[in-house]
Amino acid sequence: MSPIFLSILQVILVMALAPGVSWFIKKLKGASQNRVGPALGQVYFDLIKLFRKEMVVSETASWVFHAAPFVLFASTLLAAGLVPFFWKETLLGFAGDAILLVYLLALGRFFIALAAMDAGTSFGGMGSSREMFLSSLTEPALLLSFFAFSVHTKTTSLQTMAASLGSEPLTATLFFTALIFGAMLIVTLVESARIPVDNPATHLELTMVHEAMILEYSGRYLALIEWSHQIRQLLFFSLLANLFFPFGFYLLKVFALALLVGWIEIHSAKLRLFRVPDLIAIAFVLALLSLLGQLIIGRPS
Amino acid sequence: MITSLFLLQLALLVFGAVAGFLCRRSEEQANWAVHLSAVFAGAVGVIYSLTALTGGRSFDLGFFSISPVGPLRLAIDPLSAFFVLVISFLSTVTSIYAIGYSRHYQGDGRDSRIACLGFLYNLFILSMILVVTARDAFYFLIFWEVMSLVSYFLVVFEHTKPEARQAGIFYFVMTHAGTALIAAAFWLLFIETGSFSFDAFRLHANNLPSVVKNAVFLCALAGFGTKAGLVPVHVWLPRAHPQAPSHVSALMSGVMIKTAVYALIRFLFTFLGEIPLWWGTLLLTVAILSTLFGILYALMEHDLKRLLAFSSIENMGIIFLGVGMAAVFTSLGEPLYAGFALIAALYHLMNHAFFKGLLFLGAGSVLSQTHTRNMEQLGGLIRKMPWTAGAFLIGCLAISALPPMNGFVSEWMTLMALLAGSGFDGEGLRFFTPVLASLLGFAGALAATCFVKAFGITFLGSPRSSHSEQATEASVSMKVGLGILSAGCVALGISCGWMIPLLNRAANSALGYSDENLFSFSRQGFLVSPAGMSQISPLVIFFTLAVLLIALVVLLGKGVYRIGPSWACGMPALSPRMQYSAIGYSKPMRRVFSFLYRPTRRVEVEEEGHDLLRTAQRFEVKIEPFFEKILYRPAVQWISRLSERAKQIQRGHIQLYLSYIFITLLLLLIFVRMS
Amino acid sequence: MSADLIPSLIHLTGMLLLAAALAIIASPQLFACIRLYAAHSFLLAATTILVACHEGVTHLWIPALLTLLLKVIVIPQVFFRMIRRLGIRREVESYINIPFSLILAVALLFLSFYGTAHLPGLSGVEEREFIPMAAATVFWGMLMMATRKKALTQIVGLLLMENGLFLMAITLTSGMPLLVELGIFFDVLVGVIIMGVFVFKIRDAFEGIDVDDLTVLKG
Repeated sequence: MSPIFLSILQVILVMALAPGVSWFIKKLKGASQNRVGPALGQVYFDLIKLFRKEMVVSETASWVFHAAPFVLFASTLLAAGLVPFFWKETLLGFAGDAILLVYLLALGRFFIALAAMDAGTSFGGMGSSREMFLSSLTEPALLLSFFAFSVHTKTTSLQTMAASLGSEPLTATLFFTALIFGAMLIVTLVESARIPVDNPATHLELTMVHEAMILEYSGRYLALIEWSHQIRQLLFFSLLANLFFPFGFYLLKVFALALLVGWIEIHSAKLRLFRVPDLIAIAFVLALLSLLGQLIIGRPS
Repeated sequence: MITSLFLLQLALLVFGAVAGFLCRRSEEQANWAVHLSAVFAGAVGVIYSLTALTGGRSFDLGFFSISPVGPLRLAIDPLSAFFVLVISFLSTVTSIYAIGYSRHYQGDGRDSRIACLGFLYNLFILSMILVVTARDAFYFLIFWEVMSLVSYFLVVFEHTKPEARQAGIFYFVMTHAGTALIAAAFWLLFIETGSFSFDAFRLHANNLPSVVKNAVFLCALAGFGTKAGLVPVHVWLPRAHPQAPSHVSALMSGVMIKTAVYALIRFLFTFLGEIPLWWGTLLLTVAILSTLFGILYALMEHDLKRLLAFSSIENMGIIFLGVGMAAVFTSLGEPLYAGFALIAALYHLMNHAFFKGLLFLGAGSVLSQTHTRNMEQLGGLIRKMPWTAGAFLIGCLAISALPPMNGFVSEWMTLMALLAGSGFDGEGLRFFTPVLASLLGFAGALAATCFVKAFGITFLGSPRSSHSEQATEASVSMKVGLGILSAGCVALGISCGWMIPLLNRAANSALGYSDENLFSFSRQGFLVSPAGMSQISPLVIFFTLAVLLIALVVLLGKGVYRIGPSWACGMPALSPRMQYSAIGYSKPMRRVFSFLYRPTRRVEVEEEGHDLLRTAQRFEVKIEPFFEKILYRPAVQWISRLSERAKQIQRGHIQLYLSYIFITLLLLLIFVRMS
Repeated sequence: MSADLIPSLIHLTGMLLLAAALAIIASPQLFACIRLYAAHSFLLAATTILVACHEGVTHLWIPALLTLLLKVIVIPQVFFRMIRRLGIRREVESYINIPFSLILAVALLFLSFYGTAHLPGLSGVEEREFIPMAAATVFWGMLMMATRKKALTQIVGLLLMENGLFLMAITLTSGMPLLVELGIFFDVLVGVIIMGVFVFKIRDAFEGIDVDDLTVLKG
């Protein structure tokens, strides 16, 4: 099989797998609350049902409202084309790097945040404001994590970064990768709207961030948004799995991370919105520390 | 041929300057004459500067000579050609736009308004072209001063507004303080070299004593930094730029402040010889402060044009990050990296001219249709002004550095230039350059927040006042201007693989390298960072994104949908006043960065009877301008105290004043004798 | 691999020590603060044992075990008792907010790295990297003592400083003479107890342990 075919197949597999990972976390939460939790098919049926349903579009909405789900989904898929999942070959690895990944995710967010304001409700504005607030604090932490990594690998290409740790003994790099892993784990929690930051299951105005933004969406637009959200979550899990654990079976690693994230979600309460910057500051400082650590430990004598 | 085209451009601009006064009969004619000649002048400028850049051709003209300073020399090399290109292109577009925009200055009783505007406008463009082509410090300063004065008059063009007059005075004082410092820098060079000519500066560059060199650099940085709007001497910029007519604001933010970058590049890489490392560090410090402060204050702004002006400070910061890295790499002796960093700076400079021009023109269209710049009064304009909204959205995407627009490409290059610094020792480069890069990313994310707010509040939702309810689409010429710039923003993004060779030449000549093929940062549309750190292809990204979008729309379409009211939590109807306001939107940021903003709030409630039924409520948030408080207010107080003291020698007696003159003369005589 | 294992584990514990110390600075709750102090001490003990294995200095095992016993178990228990008897829960109050103190802390780390860059007489790689870390830990302890309002968190700051000094001692000299070590441990224990007594006295005298109240004691 040719590498191009493989990498296209990879993106398709990711699209199929993403709802499954969400299901796993939901099931985990259900188990922790003595519930059965949804069946595996449920997440897929939800999406299919949403695709079929009739939509209601606000009368104040303009073309931005219609364009946003498509842009979000397309940019997320494009971002997925940059990340190694099952194989090291990526579809677009030759045309982009970690920085592009961050900015592509920002592109989708930009449109969704605009669309939230399109309906002219206060919910939309609130969600949009909060989402942009959180993301503008997370972005430098994510970038700095990548940069701290790239100081070691001398490249920002995700393919090469993922391959680089595999070529040296794991323990030799553990001192800085452990800290970057911590930073990126926090970023993952924020980016996939998980509990210490955002509650994916809430519809209470005080606590909503992501949900407030997409409150006006229904039908297939909502399906597109939910799906791209799941893909983005899997994308971050895969980044964590492939950058820091260059061994083992991919699916196992991803579900182990999902277990970790689910465990955090079960064991923590949602943070107040204005406490979230403290959490992100910790991510930023961890990345800084790892950068400084490489400086101190790699210092020539 | 280039020479004659250059002269033709100057002639057209001079003609444009007087054309308005010739057409006294009809204001309409005057409008067309003034702006059309500027359009042609710009087009001519684009043609010859492109020829000069691609063909590597240049010219060198000497004109009449004044005895002590020598002839007026105008010359073009690749660096000048690049700046002429940017100035000419943007002025072409703003002139097209101005044909429609200037209509609202017609016929308000004083018939010479258009002629006046045209005179100043053409003279403004002329002075900028001359600034970047002058090859002699004396004439450079003259043209610089003309540029400053003309832009002052343009700022106070709507002089009936008190805030315009106030902004004008602020601008006038600060720009002249800057010019004084620039003059001092040139004067120091003159003392060392005995000539005003740039060539002489270049030849003597390596013989300068280091004290003089440092003094010249600091004077030039402070002087040109004032024009460029770098923190902490930026305070004039957000006051002055919004007051000018919008197409002039576009030129001021788009190109006028860039002339300072041009001059500083000349100083750094041509006049001053070897660069110590701390200059680069200082430049980077100033740059990152400008980047962060600019965007943080832009975020708090709800006046559309002031917001854009603050974001200009941010973008100048990004440009100076590139210039600073170029200086750092030059002093480390790494020409390849220096070239990459300078190309990043120049590319961002050009991109900023495009998208900031676009955004100011878009804001101008909004202003001319709704007569307000206050975002809290706007909303829902996307339905009234679809073209303007579309163009403005493209500008917002570009300025937020989102792929595949041009802003992303130059920000990527700047990030790469910064990251390349982590491979070197010295002054903590290894640690600070990745941190600076992440702070640049932070500024980019804040810019996205800022422009989601700007676009969302202005164009989306429902109208917040009658101003925006009654708006209509802008006139054809304005739409054409916006269209050209939006196309340019997309084109500069995806065609960067072909733009880089042009910039190579400019950077090559700026850094004084003779090797034509030194830099190869682009291969078949790919952008490759030095030492193979990474590569991107905006073209591939653009097409993949486009194909994906088209496929998605074809596959899914809009589907079945019906129109209904927005969800109002079960209340009867939503009023436009329930929407999030611009102030509300930026509230989380205000809270997190309260140590910087020090916000104060005031709530006034008119209560009538019942506690829950409030008839009116006023909410006001003010943020404290940080630099005004710690730097400018004490300075102003100090100066006024000093002048109080100086007032003592004013007694009102003419005899006393005469004796002052007498004493001064005597002292001068003694001074001359002594020295 | 096994030859590199211990040095790289020392690197790791060094970085984790920094992270734990930062977490102490960042933690908003007193309980978490003390648990993190226990974790920091645990990592310190681990580092000591690793250094002992690496350098083959067997007498380092004793201070390591003492650290485990005293700082991981006894001192936190003393603290928990104190907190219970004082009846306070959340009392980490600072003059500067958490993100800002974190940034200050990183700046201090960079400073101590920069400042110790050309110190003479440092030979081994481990020494070169642990000296800045230990110095930074001392600075962070001072930072905590300088910026916190309540007496208990100031004591944590003091203990953090002591941990930094201990780290410096074991890496620089492969441990001080045993007698000195034992003396220091005893000092710390007694110090904590005395300070605990002081805290109670402050509470009784001022009805609170806010050290701002002590400003009234000036003449």
